[in-house]
Amino acid sequence: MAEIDFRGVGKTYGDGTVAVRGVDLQVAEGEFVVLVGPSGCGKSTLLRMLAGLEAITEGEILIDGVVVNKTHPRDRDVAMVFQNYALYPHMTVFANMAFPLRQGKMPKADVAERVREVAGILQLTEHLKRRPANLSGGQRQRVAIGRAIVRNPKAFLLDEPLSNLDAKLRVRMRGEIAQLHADLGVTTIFVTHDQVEAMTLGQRVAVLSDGELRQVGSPHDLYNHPGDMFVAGFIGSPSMNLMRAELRNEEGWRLHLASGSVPVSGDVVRGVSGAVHGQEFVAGVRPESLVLGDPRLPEAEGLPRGVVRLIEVIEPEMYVYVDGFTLVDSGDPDAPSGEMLVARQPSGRSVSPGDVVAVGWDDKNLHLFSAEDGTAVTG
Amino acid sequence: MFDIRSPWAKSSLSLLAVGIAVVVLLPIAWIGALSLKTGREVYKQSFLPDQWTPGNYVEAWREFGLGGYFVNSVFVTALSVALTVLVGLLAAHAFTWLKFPGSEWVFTALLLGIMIPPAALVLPLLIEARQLGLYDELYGLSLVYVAFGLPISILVFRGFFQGLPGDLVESARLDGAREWKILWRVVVPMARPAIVTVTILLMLANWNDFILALVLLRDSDTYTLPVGISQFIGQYRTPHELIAAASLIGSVPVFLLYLILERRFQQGVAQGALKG
Amino acid sequence: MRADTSLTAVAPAASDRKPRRRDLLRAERRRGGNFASGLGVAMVFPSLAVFLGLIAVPVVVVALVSLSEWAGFELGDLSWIGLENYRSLVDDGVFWGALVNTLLFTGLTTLFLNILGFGFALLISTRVRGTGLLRAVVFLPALLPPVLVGLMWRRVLDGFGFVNQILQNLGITDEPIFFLGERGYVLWLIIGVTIWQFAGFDMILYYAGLQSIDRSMLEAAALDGARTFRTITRVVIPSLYHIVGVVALLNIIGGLKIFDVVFVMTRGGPNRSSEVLATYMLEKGFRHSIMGQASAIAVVIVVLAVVFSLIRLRISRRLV
Repeated sequence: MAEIDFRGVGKTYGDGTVAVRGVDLQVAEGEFVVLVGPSGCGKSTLLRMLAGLEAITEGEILIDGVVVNKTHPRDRDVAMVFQNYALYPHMTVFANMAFPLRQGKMPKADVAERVREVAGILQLTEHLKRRPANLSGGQRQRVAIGRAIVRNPKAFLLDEPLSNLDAKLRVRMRGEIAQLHADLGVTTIFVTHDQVEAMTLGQRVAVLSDGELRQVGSPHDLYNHPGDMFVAGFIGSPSMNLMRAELRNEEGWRLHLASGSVPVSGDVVRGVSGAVHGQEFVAGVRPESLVLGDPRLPEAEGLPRGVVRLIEVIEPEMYVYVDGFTLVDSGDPDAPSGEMLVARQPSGRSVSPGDVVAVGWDDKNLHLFSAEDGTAVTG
Repeated sequence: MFDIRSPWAKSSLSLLAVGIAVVVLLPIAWIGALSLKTGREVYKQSFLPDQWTPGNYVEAWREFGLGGYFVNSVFVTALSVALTVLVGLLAAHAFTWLKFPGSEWVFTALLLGIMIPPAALVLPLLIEARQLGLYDELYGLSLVYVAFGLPISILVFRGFFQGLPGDLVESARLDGAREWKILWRVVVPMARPAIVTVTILLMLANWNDFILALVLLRDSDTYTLPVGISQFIGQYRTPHELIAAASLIGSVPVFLLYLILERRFQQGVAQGALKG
Repeated sequence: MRADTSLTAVAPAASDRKPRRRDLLRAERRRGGNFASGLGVAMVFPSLAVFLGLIAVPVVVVALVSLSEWAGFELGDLSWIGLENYRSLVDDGVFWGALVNTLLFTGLTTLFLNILGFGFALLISTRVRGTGLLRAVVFLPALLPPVLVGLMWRRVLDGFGFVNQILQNLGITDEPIFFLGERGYVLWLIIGVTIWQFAGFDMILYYAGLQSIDRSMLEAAALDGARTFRTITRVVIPSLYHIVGVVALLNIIGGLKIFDVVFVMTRGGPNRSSEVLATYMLEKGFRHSIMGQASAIAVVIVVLAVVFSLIRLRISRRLV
């Protein structure tokens, strides 16, 4: 087990492309940290730099306080599980798992004993004589994990290990990996592009985008206190609704959207340092926090309104898409943009496409982001 | 591939195929028959021998000293093929997974070797072989074969390696394996088809080579089969039936190998030729 | 932690390991995460050494010697004479004859090998009865040592040989024809023997090419009602253009090197009617010890081979 320390780590390729820049991240001994971000954000590169498979061009990486920038991968004592498992096709499951142990001077009997022990943990005992080609996807995944566990490395690095599995198996293996970490307690860094995976697995989650670390925190923190628009949009599904809004003080503070305005309490405004009348913000509200109401009701007066375009029922909930808003691009390539808000409602509500609805939210569920740089201005 | 349905077309195509096969095979069959005739029968107008004389093979073997040539050929072919495959695997591994500044440049330079016909270099090779003590030495000839076999071998190996998942090599590195062990334990077992292809190509080329062996070997003790047998054509009395027997003996090893590995042989030659 | 004792017993004592100096030095030279470029150089070194010593150096030597007058024995006897050897080649009728023969041989064998190879490949791809035999038999000669093929054919073609037996039995001629003694025949016979030997080789290459054609294209053509002949001319041949280029250039490069068969069948005779560049080069170099002129001929062979190889390289690049 080990603690891992990234200090200002960056990667610039020979042609000048910057894959990673200025990443500072400490991983404590025994911690399970997930690196998450859209594809191409540099998360795999970061992991490969830690493993020694890519050169570190800026900053340094420390394992247990020792700078490993120039240490050969085999001397870093970390184990990696690759996206496509990297099992040796010509070796049996046993030989695959024994491979790391055979590189040292371990006696044969000890190797066999250790492999059997790990195979037992992973329920692979009866498959030890088979070859990877004859295993199911989940079994291959386990062999890959077994090969990583078997030599008891300082850290496990997992590079999108679940992305080749079908949805059901992915959920199961997710649970098994979490259980293994709980049992073994080895420092683990897990890379994924899937924020659900990140949120369910990570004790801490580090969000990357464009090669930069955006925010590190517990899943709860990331969800409830996103540090910027990107994190807000990336974490959570469906994504947070991000709307262009103007703060005005006309008989009390209100946030003005395209088709109406929503009142804001003075507490919220005071929480935003230097907030002034006429200032532009990006207002973020999660789909489950949106309140849809009948526009004819008196309390709906002045509220922004839109037309319901589409309803997706996913029992016991439904997603209601409301047209008529100006959404802001969060920077996540996969996030929705355009003019439709998403609201998450209990499936029983009587709304149908074509209805006009008033949209509002509770103050405590509002996230405000700077219109200039996208950073959060409220907690 | 083409779905021929009409029985008439089918049988005429079959006839054509068999006809061509017979025409191609006839000269070899005639030589085969000749090699079994007695010396007196050689000039007779018959295809098959009146008196079958398989003893010609024994006599050719003894008379021409084919045993020695045979051993030399086997030695040179085995040594050169083994060395080329070994050295080529090392280089291809580095060109694929241990790149160093300038490695692409070196690779391209090596590939230029494919373009140089060995026949054109026999004069300088002879001069050099004499200087280096490689002249009239079987290992010297083998080394020259290695030189001419390496470029195509490295090209085929590297092409194959690039199609292998690089994760396996990286994973082995993380697992603590040394580079030579990665090559032998991880890469080579997966690269068997490429190794077979290259081995077949090299065996053919080196077993069949004539001009390099002719120039670089002087003493009949070191002759390979092609050179050894070719020496008899200018002699005062050329025993035709024995030359025929000797020619067939020289062709047997390749032929046997072909029988065992027919499809692989054809695929190997096709892959090697189309890639190189 | 589970299974704590055995895990610690097994764990390599790595925690206190410091990066070693050797690793640091290696890393200085690394590129793209490569921690062992020194090792990479070492692994390439044997190949490079053999290549430089036995291909690159000889190429330079042959080029240099072609600019000199030298009998090939003592280096002290060598004198530089510039392009004189090339000038004498230009005036040398035998050289021109050998060049023309080489090019004629190369062109005609390439033409017929491709036609026959493609035809045979089509034939075996029908998979009708007998094509298995054809495939095995036609490819066989391509494996035999060309020298032995030459020896066999020398016998087949001589006065008491198989061909004369047939001609006489058919009553086409009474007196045996000494084919290899006839100026008008020899080159054509050598071309014929080479075609006999290597048609199967081209067949295999074209067959590999045919296999790579997308089946659905052929099926679509069949559904469109195209006859087999039209399918071949409109679908198959166009999709094999690049293969044709590669195979043809392979034959051209092979043809330029022609030596073995000529050497054992005719030695370039009679009266130089089958002289080719390689035989003439060896004659100049070894029989007459005129190393300079021999090397000049060698340079001509190298230049021709490199030119066609470069063309081939361009085509195979596009093939990928």
